[in-house]
Amino acid sequence: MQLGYFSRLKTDSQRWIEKGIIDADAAKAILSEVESQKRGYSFTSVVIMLGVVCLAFAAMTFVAANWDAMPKFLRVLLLLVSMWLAYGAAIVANRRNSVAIADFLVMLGSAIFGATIMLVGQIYHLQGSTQDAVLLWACGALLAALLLRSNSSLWLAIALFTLWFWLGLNFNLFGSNKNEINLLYLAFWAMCGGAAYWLEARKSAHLLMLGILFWLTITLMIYSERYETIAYFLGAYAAFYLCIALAIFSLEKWNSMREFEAPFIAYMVMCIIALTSIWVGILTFGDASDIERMFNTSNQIPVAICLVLTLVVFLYGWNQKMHGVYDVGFCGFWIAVWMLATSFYGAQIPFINEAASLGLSIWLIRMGERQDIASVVRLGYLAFAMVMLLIYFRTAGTLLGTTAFYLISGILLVLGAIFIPRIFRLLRGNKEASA
Amino acid sequence: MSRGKFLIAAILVALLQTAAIAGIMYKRAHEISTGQEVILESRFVDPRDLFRGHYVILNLNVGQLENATTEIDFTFKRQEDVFVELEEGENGFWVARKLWHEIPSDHISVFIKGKILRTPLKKTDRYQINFPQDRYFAPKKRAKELEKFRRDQQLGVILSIAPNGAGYIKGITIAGDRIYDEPLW
Repeated sequence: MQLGYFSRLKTDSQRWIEKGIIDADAAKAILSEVESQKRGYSFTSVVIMLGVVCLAFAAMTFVAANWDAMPKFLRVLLLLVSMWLAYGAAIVANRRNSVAIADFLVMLGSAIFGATIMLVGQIYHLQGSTQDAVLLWACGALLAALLLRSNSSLWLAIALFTLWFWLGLNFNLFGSNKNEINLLYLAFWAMCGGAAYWLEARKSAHLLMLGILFWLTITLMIYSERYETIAYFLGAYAAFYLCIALAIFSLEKWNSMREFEAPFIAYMVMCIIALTSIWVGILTFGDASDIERMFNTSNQIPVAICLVLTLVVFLYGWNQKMHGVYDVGFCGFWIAVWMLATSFYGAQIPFINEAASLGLSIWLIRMGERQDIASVVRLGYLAFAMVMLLIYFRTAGTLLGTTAFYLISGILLVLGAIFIPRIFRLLRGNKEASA
Repeated sequence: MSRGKFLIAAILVALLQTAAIAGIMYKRAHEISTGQEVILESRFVDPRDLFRGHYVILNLNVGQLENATTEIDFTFKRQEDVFVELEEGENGFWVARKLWHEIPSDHISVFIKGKILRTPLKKTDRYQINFPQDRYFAPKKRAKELEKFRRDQQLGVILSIAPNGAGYIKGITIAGDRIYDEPLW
């Protein structure tokens, strides 16, 4: 139980009694139930734990002081013994039903495994790449996570696989094309994803989403240099909307993501914002002839497939009278908008990207509110601010003028906010009257 | 997860991870004891600061080869793997004889694997090759001992070269004297 929860609940229950939400007996019953869940607090156990920490520090400083004098083999042996001790302690903790401690100790064992790899490399002057060493470490941590069902070890493995991907990069990302697309990371990511689903590891799921976001950003930076491959770029864009559409219905009905739908949608929104930024960046700062070639060679098939799938999802929701059908419809709509935006590029519809991005940010705010996902609402506001900034850069010094664009956008938004809900209410009223 | 299963799984994980470490150590020990020993001359990268932290950066002479005097099988590109054919020189140090893209099947020489960092731009320019053996880790005490040697004394790196071109550091020579021999384990 969270520290301070009981005190907070006591204050809240008093307020609820005053407001007539619950009566005094119910409040008493709730408080006694919560109090029964409180774990006994033993000061002795805290002192013992601190004592163990002191002893551990004593052992560490002793070893550190004599480290140079030790033969190499003894050093490695010492680390291996520590690793075995960590797993041994995990067995003891598991036998005592201390699942969280056992989980932490398994991660500690995996961490010592990594430290041993690095130390062996150093003391024996092994000059293999750091990337290979990290990969071996990551595989060891994943093995521990799978065999011992350790969420913490899985978390470590995901972080290490991402580090492995990072170490394989040439840092001159925007320079000449020295980086190759690392597809192997996706295989490792999928393995860790399967493990996270199986273990219901929520923290690992968050890290996985951050990892894939990082991979996508880097990959698209590499792709943005290769204009002829824009089809992948647009395909990824449409796929994110499809993922949002599926997650919305999963949130409402299927629950196939084990309550990870809301953060998943937020991460997909992040991907969309990142992609839109890169997309607009290419259009704004890219070389005109490269952009022309990019559009001429673009392939709408992956986008069209995603559009069709999103529409199928939409029709399913419509048929099932699902609440989220409105947002799923919008997902399809945005895929279609981007398809049109790329198809009509030759005609150069003025400000189509800006207008679509503005609409997207407003939909994000509304969708976040409707689906009760605060992070999506915040991302919507962020996207709105970004679009405003973009419009400023795009319109500064043009015939239209920044002020005029803001003025028109502002008027349209205010009028829309006032009249659209009224129109909907009116339509609903007519429908009810006719019924 | 039952206690019995956890016990077996934990032992299995510890065993496999230990085996991975042991595998790395065994491979090194095996290559050191069976590989061809060569001594390559190295320069100090920064004469004012021999040891940065706990290692010295090794700048092997065979990694800087003059274009005019270097024989190659065919043109190299940057970032390509390269196998440097070695032969024993007059002063005990091994020197580069020819650069190869692959180890020739009928070879009798010793080859060390590296990566081309820079290709020559003109006749007078040079090949720059990066070898994995680019640093020598040393504890503080050994670093202090090595500091007493003069900078103008020749530093040699004793390597054991495996048939596939991988090199393992066996020791250090200074002014022709074997200063350190790395233990097998």
